[in-house]
Amino acid sequence: MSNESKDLKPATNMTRRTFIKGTGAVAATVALGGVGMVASGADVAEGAPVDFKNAKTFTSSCTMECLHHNLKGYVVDGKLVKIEANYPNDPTKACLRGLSRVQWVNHPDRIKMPLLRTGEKGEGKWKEISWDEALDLIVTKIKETQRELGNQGLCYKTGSGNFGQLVNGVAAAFFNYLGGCTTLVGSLCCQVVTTTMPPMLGSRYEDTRDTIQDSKYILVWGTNPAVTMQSYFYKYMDAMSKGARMVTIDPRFSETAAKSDEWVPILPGTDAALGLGMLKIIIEEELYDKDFLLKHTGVPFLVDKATGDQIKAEGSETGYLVYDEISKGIVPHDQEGIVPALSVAGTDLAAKYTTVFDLIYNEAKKWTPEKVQEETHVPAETVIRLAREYATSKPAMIIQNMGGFQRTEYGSYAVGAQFYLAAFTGNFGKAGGGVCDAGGVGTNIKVNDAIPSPKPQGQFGTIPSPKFGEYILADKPNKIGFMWIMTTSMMTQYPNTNKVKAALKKIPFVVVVDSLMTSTALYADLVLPCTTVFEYTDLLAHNRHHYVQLMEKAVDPPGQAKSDLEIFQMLAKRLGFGEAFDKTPEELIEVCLKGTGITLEQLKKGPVLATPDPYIPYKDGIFKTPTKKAELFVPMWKSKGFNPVVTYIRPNEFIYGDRQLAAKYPLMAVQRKINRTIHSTFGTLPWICEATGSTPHVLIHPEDAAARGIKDGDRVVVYNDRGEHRCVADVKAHIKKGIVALENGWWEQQGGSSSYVTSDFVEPLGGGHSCNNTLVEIRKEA
Amino acid sequence: MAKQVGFYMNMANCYGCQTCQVACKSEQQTAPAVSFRRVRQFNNDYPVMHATLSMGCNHCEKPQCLVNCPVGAYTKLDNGIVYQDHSKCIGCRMCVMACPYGVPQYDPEEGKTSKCSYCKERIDQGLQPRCVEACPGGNLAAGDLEELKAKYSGVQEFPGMPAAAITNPSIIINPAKAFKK
Ligand code: SF4
Ligand code: SF4
Ligand code: SF4
Repeated sequence: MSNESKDLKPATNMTRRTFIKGTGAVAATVALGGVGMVASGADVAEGAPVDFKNAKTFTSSCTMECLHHNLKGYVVDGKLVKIEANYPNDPTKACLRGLSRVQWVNHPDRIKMPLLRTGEKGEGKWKEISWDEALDLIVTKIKETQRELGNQGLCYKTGSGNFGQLVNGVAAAFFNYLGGCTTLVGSLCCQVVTTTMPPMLGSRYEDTRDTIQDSKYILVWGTNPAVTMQSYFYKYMDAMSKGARMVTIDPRFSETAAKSDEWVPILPGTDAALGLGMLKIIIEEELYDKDFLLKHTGVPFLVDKATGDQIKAEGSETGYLVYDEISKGIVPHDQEGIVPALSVAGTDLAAKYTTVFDLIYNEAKKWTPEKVQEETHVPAETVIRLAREYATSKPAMIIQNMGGFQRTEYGSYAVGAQFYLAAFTGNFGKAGGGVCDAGGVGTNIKVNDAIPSPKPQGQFGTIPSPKFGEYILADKPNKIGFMWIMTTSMMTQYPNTNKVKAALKKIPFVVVVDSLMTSTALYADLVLPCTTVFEYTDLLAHNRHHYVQLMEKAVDPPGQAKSDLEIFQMLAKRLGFGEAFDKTPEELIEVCLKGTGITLEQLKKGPVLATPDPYIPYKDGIFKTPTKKAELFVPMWKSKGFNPVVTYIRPNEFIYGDRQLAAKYPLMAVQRKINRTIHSTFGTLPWICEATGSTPHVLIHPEDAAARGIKDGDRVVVYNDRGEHRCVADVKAHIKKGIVALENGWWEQQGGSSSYVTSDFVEPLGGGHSCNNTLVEIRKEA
Repeated sequence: MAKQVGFYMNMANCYGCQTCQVACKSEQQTAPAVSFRRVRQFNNDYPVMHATLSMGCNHCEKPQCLVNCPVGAYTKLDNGIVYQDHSKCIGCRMCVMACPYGVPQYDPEEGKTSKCSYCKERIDQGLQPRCVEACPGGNLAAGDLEELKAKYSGVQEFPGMPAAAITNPSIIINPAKAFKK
């Protein structure tokens, strides 16, 4: 380095910042630097460049429903000034959102005091009240509701905004101690994976991320890992550089499709038909792995034709019976030395019995390539080729990742179809194979509840999450008088949002706990200010990362913001069950870790890997079901009146479904995730808005746009009978004609969420959310 | 040969997450109108194509910003960094117009221009440029240009990019599929 370069002190930068600070017009700008922007005690000299070198560092985690990256926060004079990925302690790196958390912590619009509504709900008129007043009011409202409506008049909703151990679980304990309440059931994101995967494979959150690079064929199915699993997308690229073929099935030419060898556009909600069509070819061309099917799956299990149930040995829960080709008799599936028959078709047994294999084949065989093409718009020759490629390029991996394909009217069957393909081809349990779910530490260790709580006496009724609005408006199953909402923003995520809005207006007392004035907080009666990452101590040990992490408190929260834990502790004390909650975060973390083999001391040194590396789910074909086999017949589906093996049911809100509706609203809308938000989290941070824009867009095919006189960049209204979503047209052939892609997560203050138009149909097999079976029309804004 | 630092950018594997861009903003604490590193999109309809290119300053051998700055705010340091002494900048925007890559960024609030310094302060501390360190995909690399050339193969320009002959940028790009010859 020359002398000259040494002389170039960052004083030059200081000039730039000093100027910025001196300009009134850039109040928001000041927040950008994360420097000296917090009004109280700004010790950082005005305009002085932050010396990251001498900063104190802390580690925490990005806790919402994402990849749970470990973060390193730099603190100077009590202010958080920078966030970096804590690499290589966490071998995957945080994204722009994780880094932007510094702007969240330092956000000028942080809520600093409890806010009591003074205007109409949604008007945004508040007065600050003290915590004592706020807590007294809450206790009064809880008691009033209990007296007038009973405990069923209470309701709470936690969401995926924070997966810390001392957050949502504490809320559950609190409401249990209150004696129970009406609850919302079914996650909006992956409910049907939760209800399909455990009965079939025995567990959930089994992810194959560790061996993606070993795959020879990657079928990315209705998901977009380049955006949603960004930090290990390089593994897909590694696999490709070693010769793997990658194919992406998606109505949209996604970021992942752009990196793939092939993009296969498909009509939303028809994935099960494609899966069955592929299976038909795999069965008929005998491309299946017979050995794997016989040893590791329940497809040879006999089914009684009269009852339609699988038959078991007397008195045995797992003693499913099969037809043994050697002894020519009916024997338990796990008897030594037998060769189970896949099919009993054409034998004497056929009068009385069939097999799971026969049931599955009966469903698959209806789906000729031509029929698949008609239903899904995937060309017949592509269906045949995909089936052959997938079955013969081993190991082959299906990327499911709780993708959008399963947020459809019969999403359970789509999920199941993918498991069938992996089971029939023997791809489970192998490096580079399997089906990738979002996954994490829960597959290997069991983390305890921080606050054990009594199971409530009695049943208070449930509300299927997608139907929140409708149920509340109809007082179904109960009239709700008190609602507590935290770690979620229902107004940006819940379908049919106009009804959600009306519901929040209807409920007499709504408490929203948040750190910023979110779309949902706008409709609260009382907003409680809470901390955000780096302002409180917690443990992150969830099913999104393979690492268990200690979340350190690095800075004090602004004003009188408190952690969710503290809020419940204060309330519990007032309500007479304070003792159970009265522990420090560290004490509670120790409760959570008990029996896991991981200690707080260890975590203080850095994140701890809690899964074997490489983790191979269902290794060697050993599943986690009672039979240790993949049980491809789902009794629960049958008990609900549905086919117990995967079939295809045409969605109703679909171009070939309700024809009248489709005539009125001929475009199919799918929801996409974008790199600016996780659900709605991060959506208003300045760096995010600057880097990615601050207006919602709709991706529309040039021919669909032309037919409506819409040009790229036009302001448009996406609408149906449920409501309207205003956005800007992004006219590109990066989507299948007839389909439009809406962006998930926009705040009320930014024009509102695409969920105003999305379907609130409850997926009947698993109780899932079917926002990707939504019909809309689009017009140019007048 | 004079020392020259440079960047390698693996466009073929970049998935456009913009982490590099925001990491730079965070490190350099730039004003809202200013991003020293930006991720550009390339899209095509028929056939469909989507690619992203991340670019900071290319610390060129023949920097047009330096050549055209009337007050001599730019210096080519010994290690090849094209460094701007921000206190000298008068905001005339000659460099903005001269740079074929649109690198120098004018901030209307401040009335001055600034640009990527190759994280000079970090380099002096033996650290990597922040953008390089932040890329979750490992799609950026920094170091001595000759060493980068030995390690990675790539181009200085692909169709649609400015001719490399103008400035001889210290950059190696592994172009996205659609831009490969
Ligand atoms: S938003 Fe997701 S990808 Fe980004 S840092 Fe947080 S956990 Fe990681
Ligand atoms: S951080 Fe890496 S992958 Fe993301 S846009 Fe920048 S160069 Fe591309
Ligand atoms: S080298 Fe530093 S200043 Fe230049 S783009 Fe990268 S982070 Fe920004």
